[in-house]
Amino acid sequence: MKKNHVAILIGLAMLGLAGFAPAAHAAATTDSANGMGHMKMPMTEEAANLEPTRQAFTADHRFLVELLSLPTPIPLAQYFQLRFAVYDGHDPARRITDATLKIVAGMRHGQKHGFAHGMQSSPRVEVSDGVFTVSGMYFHMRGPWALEITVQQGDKRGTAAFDLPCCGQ
Amino acid sequence: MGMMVEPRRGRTAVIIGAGAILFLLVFAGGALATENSPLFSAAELAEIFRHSPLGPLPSEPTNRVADDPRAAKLGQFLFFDRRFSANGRISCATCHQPEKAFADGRKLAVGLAVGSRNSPTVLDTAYQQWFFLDGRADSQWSQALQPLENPHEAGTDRLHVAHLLADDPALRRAYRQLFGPLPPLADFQRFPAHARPDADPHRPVARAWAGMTSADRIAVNRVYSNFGKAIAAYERRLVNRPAPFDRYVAALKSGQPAAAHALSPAARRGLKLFVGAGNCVLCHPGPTFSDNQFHNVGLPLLPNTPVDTGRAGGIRAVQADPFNATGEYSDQRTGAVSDHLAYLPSPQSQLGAFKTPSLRNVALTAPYMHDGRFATLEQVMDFYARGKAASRGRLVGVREATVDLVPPLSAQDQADLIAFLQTLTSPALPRELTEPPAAP
Repeated sequence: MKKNHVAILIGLAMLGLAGFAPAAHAAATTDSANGMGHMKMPMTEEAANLEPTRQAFTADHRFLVELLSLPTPIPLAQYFQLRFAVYDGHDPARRITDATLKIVAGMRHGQKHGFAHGMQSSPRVEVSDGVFTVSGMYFHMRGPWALEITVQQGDKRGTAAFDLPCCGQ
Repeated sequence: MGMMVEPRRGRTAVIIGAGAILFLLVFAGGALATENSPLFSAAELAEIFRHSPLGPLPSEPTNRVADDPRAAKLGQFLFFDRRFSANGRISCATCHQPEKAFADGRKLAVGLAVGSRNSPTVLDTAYQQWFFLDGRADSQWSQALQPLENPHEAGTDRLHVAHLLADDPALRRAYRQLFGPLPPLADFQRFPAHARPDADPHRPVARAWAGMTSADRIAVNRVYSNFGKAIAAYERRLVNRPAPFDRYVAALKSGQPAAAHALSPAARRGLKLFVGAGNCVLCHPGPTFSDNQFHNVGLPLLPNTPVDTGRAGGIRAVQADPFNATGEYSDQRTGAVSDHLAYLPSPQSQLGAFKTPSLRNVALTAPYMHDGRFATLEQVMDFYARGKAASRGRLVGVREATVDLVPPLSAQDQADLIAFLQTLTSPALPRELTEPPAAP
């Protein structure tokens, strides 16, 4: 009898203690969730699984633009370079060397058209042996960046879209 | 019967007891876990760790005396010296008061007249790339020069500065030890008492400046730039000491169980929001809590205030500044230090944008925003919480849509964020850094 009473008392005591546990857990959950059920995933995490675009056709398939090199990872708040090659979109084995390249970059932040903001730099493009080197790229914010690369060859022009994740640790 | 019942009751009691223990482990264990770090996701923890510690100072190759203690002492003396102003009552410390976290607590800066912008703190500016709220200077030393000749601030001129350095034996000695001899400033035919470049070429100071030879103007500019470099050597030492947030991060990194208690629950919730769903870190990343870049957050023009173009004007000004990093008074004019000038964005794209302020000591540096329009952090939170509605009115330039990434903030969210921001308050600097030295 006595042993059983002790066991029951221990059990009740445990239940009594555990009775507080849901309250403590609820408090911890509130602390953790922070009442942020209405909030989306942070922008800084969106770039984590994003692979950089390696090649893209211009909208009319007139040109194929290939990203030859980029720093891995792209550094935050530091100038960096990108290198591109351009090919005939209808004959991708034929490299185009007499075109000009214009690059515009920004972050869309969910916008379908245009950028929420651009880069705080004006990159320069130099061409040598058919390789277009873009210097002065500068990503000041973590998250997915979008590039619009416009190829101009004579009177032909097309724009290709690239996505690049920013940035390393 | 009783003998039969007794064992069953005993087994029942044991089962109840065991169940209770299991229940406790599952639920109370969860509660205990939150005392350590599961409050934050792995991504949030990584972001938190990027914000502390402040880290070593970046190198400053455009100022060869940046890390010379003698220059810092001279600069500290000059920082508090009121003689370098038109009325003898204004020094750097007028707008950058040590007891006010090196700001002034005013809505707008007040020197010889009321300025148009809020005085930012000087603390931690050694980590910055751009100076002034519009980034019109690209080094600490070139920043230090502009208030001297600004008619709303010290209102003096570079010839007056040079003559003061030459006429005070202690200053002259300290200057010579660092930078070599001064030009023959006693020759007032060549070096008038007052002269400077001025937007109005008919002003006496502008005419006097125009009357000097090119070589003498360069010699005076050299002295003037050295004056700034000495002040910068002092300002470079004005670095915030670790704040409660830094101690919290250090404890988190080392896995100390007590870490959870280093910040209040409200501050921890605010931190989670800051590095996570609040998206605050997009513009306030890293140990300085600033991206050191420029954003138009959509502050509507206040009544009876002139249009402030912000960074757009700053870009044009820094390009034209003879004291910029690529100018002849810079101690390193090429290489990486010149990239920021080589790739400047178009001014039009930066219309109405202002520099992201550091948030360290933000609780001590009210009022807020470039024009000091918000007296409290609560008002700042309310601005961001209201989203686009807070930007109704006439805007200068285009509001950056990044601001829309700040989610709706409840009153609790705002209070939590403020509780977190208050953990960024550092202890005051020691007296040897906050008072003028007895001699230069």
